[in-house]
Amino acid sequence: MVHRDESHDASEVAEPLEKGFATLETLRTGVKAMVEKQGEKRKAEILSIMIRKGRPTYYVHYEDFNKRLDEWIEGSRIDLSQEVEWPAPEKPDKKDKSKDKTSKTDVLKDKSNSNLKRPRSLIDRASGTPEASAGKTQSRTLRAGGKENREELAVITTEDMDATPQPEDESMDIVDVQTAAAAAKALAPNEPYSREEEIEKLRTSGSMTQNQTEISRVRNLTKMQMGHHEIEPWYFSPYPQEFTDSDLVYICEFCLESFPDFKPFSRHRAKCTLLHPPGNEIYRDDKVSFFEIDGRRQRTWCRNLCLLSKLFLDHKTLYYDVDPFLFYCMTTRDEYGCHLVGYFSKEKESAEGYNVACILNLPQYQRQGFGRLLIDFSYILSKREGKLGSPEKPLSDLGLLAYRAYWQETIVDLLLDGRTEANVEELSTAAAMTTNDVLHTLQNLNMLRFSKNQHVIVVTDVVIQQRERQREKEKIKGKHHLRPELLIWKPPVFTASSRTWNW
Amino acid sequence: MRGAAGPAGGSRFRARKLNTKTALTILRESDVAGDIAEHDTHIGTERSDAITSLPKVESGVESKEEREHHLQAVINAARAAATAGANAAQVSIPTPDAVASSISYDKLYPPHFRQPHTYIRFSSTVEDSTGVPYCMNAEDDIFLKAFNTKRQPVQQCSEDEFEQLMSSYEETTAARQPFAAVDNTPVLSLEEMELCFEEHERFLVDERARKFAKDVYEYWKAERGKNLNKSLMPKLKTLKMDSGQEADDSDPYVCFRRREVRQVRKTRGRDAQVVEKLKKLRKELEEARHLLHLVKQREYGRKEDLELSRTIFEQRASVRDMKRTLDIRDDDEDLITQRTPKRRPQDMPNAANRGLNQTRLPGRPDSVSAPEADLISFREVVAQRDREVTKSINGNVLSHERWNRDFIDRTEQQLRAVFSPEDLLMDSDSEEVMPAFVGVKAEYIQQPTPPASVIADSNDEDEASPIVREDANEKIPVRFARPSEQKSFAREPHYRRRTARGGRVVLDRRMPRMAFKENLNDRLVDRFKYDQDDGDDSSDDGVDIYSATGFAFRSQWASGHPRVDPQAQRRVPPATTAGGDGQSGNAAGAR
Ligand SMILES: [Zn+2]
Repeated sequence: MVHRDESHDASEVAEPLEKGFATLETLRTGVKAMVEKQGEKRKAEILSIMIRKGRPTYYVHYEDFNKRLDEWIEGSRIDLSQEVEWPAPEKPDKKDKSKDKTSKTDVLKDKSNSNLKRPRSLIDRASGTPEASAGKTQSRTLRAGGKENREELAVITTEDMDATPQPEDESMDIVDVQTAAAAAKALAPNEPYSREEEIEKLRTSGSMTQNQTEISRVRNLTKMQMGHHEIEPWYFSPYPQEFTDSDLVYICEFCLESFPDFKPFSRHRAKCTLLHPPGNEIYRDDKVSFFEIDGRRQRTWCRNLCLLSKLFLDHKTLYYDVDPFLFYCMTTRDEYGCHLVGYFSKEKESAEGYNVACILNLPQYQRQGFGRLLIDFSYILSKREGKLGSPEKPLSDLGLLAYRAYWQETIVDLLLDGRTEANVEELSTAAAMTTNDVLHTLQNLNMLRFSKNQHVIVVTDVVIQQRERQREKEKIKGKHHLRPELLIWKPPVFTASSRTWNW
Repeated sequence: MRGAAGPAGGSRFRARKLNTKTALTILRESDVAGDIAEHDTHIGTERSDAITSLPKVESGVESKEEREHHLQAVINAARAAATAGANAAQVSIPTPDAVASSISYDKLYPPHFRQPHTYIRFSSTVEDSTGVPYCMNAEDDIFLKAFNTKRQPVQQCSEDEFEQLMSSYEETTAARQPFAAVDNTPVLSLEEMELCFEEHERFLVDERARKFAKDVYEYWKAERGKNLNKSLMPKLKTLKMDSGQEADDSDPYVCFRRREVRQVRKTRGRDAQVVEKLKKLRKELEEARHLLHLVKQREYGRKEDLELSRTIFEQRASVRDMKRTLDIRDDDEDLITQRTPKRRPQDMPNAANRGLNQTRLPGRPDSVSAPEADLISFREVVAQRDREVTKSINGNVLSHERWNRDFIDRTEQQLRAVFSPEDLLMDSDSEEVMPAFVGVKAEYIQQPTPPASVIADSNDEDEASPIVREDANEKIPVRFARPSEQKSFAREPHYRRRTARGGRVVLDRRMPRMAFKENLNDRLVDRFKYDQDDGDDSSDDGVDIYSATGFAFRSQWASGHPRVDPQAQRRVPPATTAGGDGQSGNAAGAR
């Protein structure tokens, strides 16, 4: 997927990069410098600068590292012996804008030179690495006229789930919208959504994922306390702005209410009576329980859940309310109650046939096999509904890996169950996976081959070996399997009026 | 594929699409020769462009993110493991750590949970379950402690009371002055606050807490002042607080906006559905309009008819006057002959009454001129008939009682053996047109035949057969049979009998509504669809749950009637007589 059409970038590449040496004093947001990270130098962009205890600290994003690794660093880690890349000069109207913003968001007032709301160029400018330069776009390009807000325009991925190959679409996977806005008039087809269009899309489609400009790039919370754990947030989440000042935000494990301080949290705990997610238990085995929560009936709880999960899901949007979603929450049980482990949300009626909107296994429960249970459960529900399902895109990196592992396991098990032939639709139906996902899996495993003028599925030795090793491991570790017969659930039906009028 | 595949590797795939319905042979790698071409669609490999016959694999991750270092490392490792058999290196995506917390969990979370045996069903909200919403912070704690040190223990304000007051102040302000933080409205006075102490169930302030209302109010007011009159409870930015909606959109802290009311998903299927509904609605409206048009025409016709009648009446009156003045003493023949034919067409428009015209007495004008002698003979006939009918009925009643001995009737519509002879009063003159009336719903009630009980199964045969009473005089077969169990009564035509002026008995034919659905075409069904109550619970069994008998029956059960297995009532074997309509008795028509 690194192949991308560079034609749209041609216009911006012309603009030269300003390079030069800098001192700690002249560093500003937008500057890209080499930063020491785990013993090696990496190019990083300074996203925010804040004076802490009289010394400036820098919030940096490492190129080609996930945003969750963004961090505050001391100036000493920035290599000033090398040239840095200067950001494009800011347009006057932009300054006005950011000033305007800063006054609005009081939190920022003590963060000097903070530029939380600057437009996000998804693809970092002028990166040195060859892969990145291919998709390079520049955020300094002219703003297409019109509203001021325009500069905050979105970067959208075109989610091409079409089965028909459209290679030229790839180039539009990611487009800096400023580029796009400039090119929009010339580019009739494939033009990306405007922000307005995108919000409209959000409104009508109920999608839970959104572009990144919506989201502030700088993590706003430092640490969360929840249940037995303390967790570092990965991404920005729109908790009350007062919380940004808090070193440790407390979250009640059962109602998910959040508190900036221990005292109010302990007071809340004295009053809170919830012991499990506030909905109906629809599945129970000896290890986990699943609860079904209606976003409309449990608005507060579901909002709390979304705020929490936003800390760990980059692409989740909280732009609109939780009403059109059902939340399936997985818990473990003990004498204290049902502890939330993970959840996935699901549109009450998905036009695109998604069976999962957002899926999250809380960080404190990751790498324990819970993610697979969550995914499995989403397909168990789809099977009960008699539908094929697929998760909403874009997936996160971790989501992709979890899904690929699940798909591989499922498909390989089906292929090894003794059948001598199968068509893709059979496999798809048996697993409640879309045919696309089945093909995806087969191709990924290099099992779809062409022989004697026809396609065949070749179960490779390595895949079999891998599966056997996995089974061995499961035997030793004792892998947990969900049992569909323990699911007491009928697909909920929402009348047209309840969907239309929110009854 | 035509011909052998060219040596040019991937080109032969291009034309060949993979059909998802085609069965693919599943082979083990060990079983096949190594010459099977690979469908290699690895991301970023040169070969991927050769494989256009297969849907492109989209990973579903944003492509910029897909290039990320750690993800690529894991994907590559996984691919190496899956394709080359390399031992899957333990590569993973680094994530910030979650560590054990130092809080004293047990103090905060008491082990109260008892798992019920059945799956939990729960609908209380967070608000229901978390009590007073305000939670005091460290600063409040300092204030409260200082406040309480000056006081006797009994005079001290508890944390709960403090929070009640604070909640009340906060919520009252939020409700009364939603824009307090931006529009500089003066802070509500304590008096105003106190008025609201009992307003909201959730923010009730205890009697005891009210003693501290003033002190806490002063504290609250000061805190609000420090906080620029913003809420003291951390709030999500969920509402569009000021007019700056544009700015709102880009404020990342604003979340959970309400979707505008119309949030219907636009799908093709739904559109088609809506179109169908609109079409249907239009058709129905047009039909209604047509109906109204016809009604209007009918009313015009009636009006004209009335006018003509009036003219005729006046003409007749003048003729009569004329006759009087001229002293012509013939009979009123010319008056009557003119009038009689008028009556029929007047009744014609009402289709439902058409059948009744036959039962009407053609020779019974309202005029007083009917000859007296006729009446006398009519009474005699009636009396004679009454005697016969009563006799036969009494016989039936007796046999009914005999059959019923030792049985209790617990069916819904119990059989009554007794009815008054007056019920049977019939017109004499209609006999030549009187049809053998069938299927009267009321007849069921009057059935002299007992319902077969479960016990009676053995001698069911003769009881089930219809008892045909041959009326010696009239030769009208009257059949008494138990109603068919398979066929609902409501589906059979039945009649309402009412006594009209002068003791005439009029039979109104009533068409059961369910019959329409079965027998008439769609257009007619459409026409009658609004004649029913809302169709939501249209029960197909045709049982009218509002019927008086139904009510009586249910109330009887409700009043502690001994329980009987409802199945037992239903297990009455169906009547063995053939023909649904034919087996209905005809008592009303008896003569
Ligand atoms: Zn709680």
